[in-house]
Amino acid sequence: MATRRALFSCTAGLALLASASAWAQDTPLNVLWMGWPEEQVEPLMDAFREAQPDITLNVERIPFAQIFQTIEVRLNARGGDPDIFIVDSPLTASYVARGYLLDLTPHLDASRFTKAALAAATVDDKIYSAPFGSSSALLFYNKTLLEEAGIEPPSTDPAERWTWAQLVEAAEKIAKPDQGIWGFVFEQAERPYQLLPLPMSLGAEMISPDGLTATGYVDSPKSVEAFQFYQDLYQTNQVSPPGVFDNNLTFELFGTGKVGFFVGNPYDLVNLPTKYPDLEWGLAPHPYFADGTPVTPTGAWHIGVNPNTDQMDAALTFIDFMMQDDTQRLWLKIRPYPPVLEAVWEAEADTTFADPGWAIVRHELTETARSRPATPGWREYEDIMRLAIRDIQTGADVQATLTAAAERTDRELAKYR
Amino acid sequence: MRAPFAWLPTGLRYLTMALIALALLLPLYWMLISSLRPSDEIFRYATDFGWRTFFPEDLTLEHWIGALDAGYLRAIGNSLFVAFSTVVLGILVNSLAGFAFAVFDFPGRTVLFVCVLASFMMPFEAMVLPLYHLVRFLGWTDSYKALIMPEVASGFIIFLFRQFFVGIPRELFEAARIDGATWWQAYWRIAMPLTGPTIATAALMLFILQWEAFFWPLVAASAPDYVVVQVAIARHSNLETTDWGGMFAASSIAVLMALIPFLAFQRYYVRTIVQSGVK
Repeated sequence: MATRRALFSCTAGLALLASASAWAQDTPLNVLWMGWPEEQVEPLMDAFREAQPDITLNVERIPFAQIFQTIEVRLNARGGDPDIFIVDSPLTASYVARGYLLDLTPHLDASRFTKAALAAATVDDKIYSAPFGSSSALLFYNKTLLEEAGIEPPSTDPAERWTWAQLVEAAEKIAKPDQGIWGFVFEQAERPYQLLPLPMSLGAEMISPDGLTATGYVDSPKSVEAFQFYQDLYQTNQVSPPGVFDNNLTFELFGTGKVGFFVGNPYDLVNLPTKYPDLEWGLAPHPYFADGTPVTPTGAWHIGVNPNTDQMDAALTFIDFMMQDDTQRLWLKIRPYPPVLEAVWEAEADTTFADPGWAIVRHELTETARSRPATPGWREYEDIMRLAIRDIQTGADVQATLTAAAERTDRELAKYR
Repeated sequence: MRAPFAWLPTGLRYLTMALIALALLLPLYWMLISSLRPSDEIFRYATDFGWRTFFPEDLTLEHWIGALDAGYLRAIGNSLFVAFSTVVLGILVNSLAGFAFAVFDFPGRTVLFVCVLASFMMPFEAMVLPLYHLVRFLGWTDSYKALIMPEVASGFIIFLFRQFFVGIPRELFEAARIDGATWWQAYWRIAMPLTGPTIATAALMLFILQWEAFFWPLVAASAPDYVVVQVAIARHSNLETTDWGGMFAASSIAVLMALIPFLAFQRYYVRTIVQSGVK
């Protein structure tokens, strides 16, 4: 009798197991991912497929320029597709306001993340996006151009970082606009991401504490002073190439030896030697205003779960996998974003991060990094500021442009009140 | 009609036109020639304008070979399939609608026609959200249907057909009806054969519309199996770095492919104008 019962339960168990695995085998998980090249996406996804053979991953790579509109349309439909999507960290608050993000607080161990990454993922004390990469800024310089102009290169020591005035002075010695040689260029010459650290360095706050008012912040005297400096780079000092906004073009300008100084991202540490192996370049910390404090940009890609997903377990399994130390070390090898896990910084301390460039990045992330303004209307804020920055670059009155931009932003932010 | 620049001496006129043509073609030429340059040379001479901007020192086929991978060939196949399906269905649907508006009197015709006119003045961005909701509701996301069906009916092309059919004397259709032809036969055997130029124009417009399609395919069908040409081209660029050589090669291929229907339809277009004509 006992044997028969055991046999029965065993068979039933097997049948259950078989049906469970048959069910599990077609658990599809739709992942909307950034349009990084295939070889920077697939190794990561393959690692997941290997660990979770029962989950079928469908990965869509969306080009950067369209990813935010695509996410907006897809998530707005309130369906379960996509289950997982990549989140630009400053948009976390905006997505939370729209109900696009699942609260991940119970599923993540907050103590594992760096302070800056956690701050970018948190809205109202809850973690809504799983940190996956960070970013920073470095001052790259062309050794050959500096030597020709007789300029002593800046130090790598953050304590001796250059002021913006020192940078302009050196850049003026290099710039020969009539020959297409420029002294300095921001990699993202129109994006608030890289430009807001200018007013922030002077102590300006760029949005009200509740994230809903721009007037009095975007057009404050310190903000105007900072953007006047930015305009002068193009108009008065003529050290930067006017009309060049595309971050991929500024990279090529520096790579082909047309620019002396370049504010770039840590990923350029890998992109430069890959694409321009002959270029002789050096590194220094991001400049600051003498009467202010050093401020660097940060924030990057996080991962979000659609609260309407039909595959909640699989989606959380995916998040759990992507947050593992080993996965994030693999990710660092594929794409050199500054890690968001303390454990990865420690594990790679003697290898990847032995490079002096990474020592600067580490310093900036702990001491000077400031997230973009926390507002549910970041997309609107960014769009309006980009247009304003373009106008300022091409010579528009700085105060009037910023005041108009602040008023437009306030109108857009009103809907979040 | 006087030829443009008729007041200029012939030689000078041709020179002027050649210069304008050159100015218009230079960016395309630059794209093509950049796709044949080694990566690190593409931007080396882009800022200091000179002969080297347009005449490369070294030529290489690496970008073309790299661009023509399986993924891109698949994207070309997808785009061709989507474009030709849209052309065939679009010509049928829009010409039938145009025929109805031109030939039949029915209540609400004017209101409906105004709606058709309004539909092509609405920017796509304004309707992408409801359209996506609809396509999701129908269960069409990530399918060829999602790519083809929303583009089949076109207000502007209905308008084109309607304008052409209005010009055909009603007596022609009435005579056919008296001889025992059905309305379908009147449309298919009489109206359509006269419509060559409009069909050619409509076909080209639908083809280009789908060949250029970018944002909608990303939203509605971005699974790897349904990637279309423009999306595949955009994949060469991301926030951090752009494979310019690959992008220029892929774009050159897309431009050259889009020329094929133009050249093919151009001959047809000329012939139908000669052959059509109602006495």
